[in-house]
Amino acid sequence: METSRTSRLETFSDGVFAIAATLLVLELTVKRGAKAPPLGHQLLHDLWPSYLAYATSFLTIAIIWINHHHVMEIIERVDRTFLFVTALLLLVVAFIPFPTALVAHSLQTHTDERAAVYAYGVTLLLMAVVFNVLWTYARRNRRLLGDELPGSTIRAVTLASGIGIPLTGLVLALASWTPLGGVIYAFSLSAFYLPGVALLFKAS
Amino acid sequence: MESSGTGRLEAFSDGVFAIAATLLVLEFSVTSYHDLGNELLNLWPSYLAFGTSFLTIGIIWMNHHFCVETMGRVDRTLMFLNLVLLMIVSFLPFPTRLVAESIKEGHGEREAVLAYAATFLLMAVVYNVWWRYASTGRRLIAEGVPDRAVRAISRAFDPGVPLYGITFALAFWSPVASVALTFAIAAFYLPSAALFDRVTD
Repeated sequence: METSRTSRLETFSDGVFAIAATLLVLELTVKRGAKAPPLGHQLLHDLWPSYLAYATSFLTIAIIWINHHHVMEIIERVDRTFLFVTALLLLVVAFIPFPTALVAHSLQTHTDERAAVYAYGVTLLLMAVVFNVLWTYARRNRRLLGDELPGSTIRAVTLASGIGIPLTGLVLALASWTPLGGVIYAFSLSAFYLPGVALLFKAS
Repeated sequence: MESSGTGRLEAFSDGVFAIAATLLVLEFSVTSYHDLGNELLNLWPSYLAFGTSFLTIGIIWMNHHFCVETMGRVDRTLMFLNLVLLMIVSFLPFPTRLVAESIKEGHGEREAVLAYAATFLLMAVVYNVWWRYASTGRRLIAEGVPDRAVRAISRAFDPGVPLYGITFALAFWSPVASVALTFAIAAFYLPSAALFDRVTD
């Protein structure tokens, strides 16, 4: 009962990641009817905040999935607490479509962008924090890790996930100054994920 | 045909659990962007309902995981009971939205929370039937699994129906308290599961 294989954790988590990422498209909507602006204008001009928010959230979910995948590969077993913290992480992931839609709509209509980007930033920050809790629980005294896993790998993952907290925290700080800048920064965080991780792993 | 491995049952169930849990987010909507900060704070019933339903689905999935691990095979009856359980799980986003909207709008809370609690109660009953069917006389339990482990799971199932019965009764008196108790049942799952493990070991 206490420890068990990881395959079902992966199928359930992958399901939530995939569905959350796919639901994001529902925030893309156009106005219809005689009074609506021409469709081409809406698609090329009005909708750009939706594209930005969509790409940012999709990439962010993809990256958290990659990181989760990586952690699951080096974990040897799971226990009830690990499953529960995973459920908490997935709770935040599944929530992402909502602040994404808030950001897109508020930037489109120029109303209350700051509150929307705060909500978005808080969600991303919460995700980073829960991911760190998950990893810290697994690695503490090698609770869920195998003995043969090198310490350098553990340190690299600890560093890479730990740095996520201040990096996403900056989205909030930026948002108080420029909401749009906060979203663009969040986008670049995920867009530069690959070189960033490569750099971190080389450094450690 | 009569009995088979557990792999496909698990994969299908995981899909339904994941989709039902993720669709819960669709109940969030704001009506105006003019005072978004305030609007987001007023959404608290949505956060409560979302957190409660998501965590409960997550816990059902965890328990499902631990239960199926003890099974050596599944048969048609268990598959059917499993489908009934999944039907209730996939229904959950609907009463979740009812609860969030009625508390926000300030009317129809009692009916909405009764529907919500009834769904949970039904889920607990079906889940019990599902487990009793598999475990009675070790019908589907794998050979290597000790009786002690099966009994521990059975004991952990005992409080479910009475607890959700209480949330149902509580809804008549205070709908919000009923939702809060449902949330607490999910949030205190870990310590209570640990307690059960200690009692049985």
